[in-house]
Amino acid sequence: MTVAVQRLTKSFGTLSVFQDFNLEFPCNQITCILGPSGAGKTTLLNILSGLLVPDSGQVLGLDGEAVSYLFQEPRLLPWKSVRGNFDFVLATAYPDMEERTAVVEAYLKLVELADFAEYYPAQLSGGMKQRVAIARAFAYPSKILLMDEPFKALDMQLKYSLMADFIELWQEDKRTVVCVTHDPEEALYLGDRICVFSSLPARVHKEFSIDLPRESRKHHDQRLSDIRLKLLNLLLGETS
Amino acid sequence: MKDSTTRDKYLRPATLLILLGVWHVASALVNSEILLPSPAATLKRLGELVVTETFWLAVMSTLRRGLTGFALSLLVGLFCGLLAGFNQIAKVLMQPFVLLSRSTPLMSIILLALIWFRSDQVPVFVAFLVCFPVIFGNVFAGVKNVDNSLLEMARVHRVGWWATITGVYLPSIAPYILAGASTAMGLGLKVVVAAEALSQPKLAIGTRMQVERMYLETAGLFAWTITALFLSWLLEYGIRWVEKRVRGSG
Repeated sequence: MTVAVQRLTKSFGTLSVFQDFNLEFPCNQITCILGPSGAGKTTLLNILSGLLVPDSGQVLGLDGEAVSYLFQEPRLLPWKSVRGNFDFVLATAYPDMEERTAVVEAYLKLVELADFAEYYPAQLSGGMKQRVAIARAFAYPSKILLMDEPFKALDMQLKYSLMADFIELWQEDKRTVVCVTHDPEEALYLGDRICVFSSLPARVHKEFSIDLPRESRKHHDQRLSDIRLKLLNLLLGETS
Repeated sequence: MKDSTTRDKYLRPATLLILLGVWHVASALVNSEILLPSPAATLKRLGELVVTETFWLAVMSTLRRGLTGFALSLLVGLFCGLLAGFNQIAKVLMQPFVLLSRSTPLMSIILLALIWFRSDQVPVFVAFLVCFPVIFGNVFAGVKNVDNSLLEMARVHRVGWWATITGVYLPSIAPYILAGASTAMGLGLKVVVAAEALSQPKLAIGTRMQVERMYLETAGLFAWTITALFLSWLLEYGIRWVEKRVRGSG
């Protein structure tokens, strides 16, 4: 069942963020949401995750199920080891210790951190911590994965290597992903579909589909370049 | 780092020697055992005291009162601090009590306690009332400083309330509780001795001090003071030990 928001309305005080807003998130696809700051992107994620309750309207296709959420920061508990951090989030989903340990091992292996299970976050680099967070998000069983600019605070090289890690995990386990970002390059690399938000109250200003395999997105491609140009024009047009 | 710690190792005994030296010279200048007894006379008196059974009974009693008052304030302070941290109404309701226990003069508390309680209960009550706002304030600050982004992470992933308390709240409040406990412990022992000096329970450091004062045995008063100092150092050390274990277990 497709996840969607229907007739969503949400305001903070006098600020109307969503007004009768509709959007569908196709199954097993990565939908990137691009737009200026304060365009309601994070608000949308918080409504999908249940952290915020909309004034009216509804979220369809989730039935109050839990979601995975990958934040801009790793959000690891500093007083727990990597394994402890997985346990903290996975304890309800995998009450059986043995099964849980196997899941944790498997995901840590996928992000090449199998040897770091007993390390504490303070002993890991920023990129390693975010890789733990990515692995944790995938290890957590859910229909939908929400991402709030998880690659923002990283340098260029690390960003692409982490995005590649992310795609690798996702190819194994194609969840429905909603990824919020500022960065057109990120959207072009990750998305099956890119929705550009207007300023408030939020609407989908423009929508693009990319059916190019991700392995070839690093290289020059005319269709990708066309979309890039249109995205930049839209974003710059919105802010000026 | 290493340099400064090895330097500290030599510096600490050195400062103790300087202190003793100043004390010795000062008492020689004053030249009156009643006004300022010499370190030698104090140590001699301490030596006499240590071998008596009453000394140890008094020390244990004072220690017991201090620890009881401290434990009570820790329990009540923890409970109230958590409650006030989570609940705005509880916070507003508790505020006058905390303010009162924080700002009432120590003497009023002791004198009132003398009216209300048995002599050996007075120091416990006073210690409790003095330590409580310290613990309460620290626990409250601890709750308010819990990282909201971690709570959000726990909530999104449907982590249960018990796991959230033990996994997020307690570890982030723990340093605040320990800091509060350390302050309260030092404070508690001081006020216990003060309250004992006035309430005069049979076995107590404070009572013994009062007796030594009555007989103008200033060396004895000093000896008991050193005992109290040693006791408070011991307790401080105990808290440090707990702190290290809590940190160590991460």
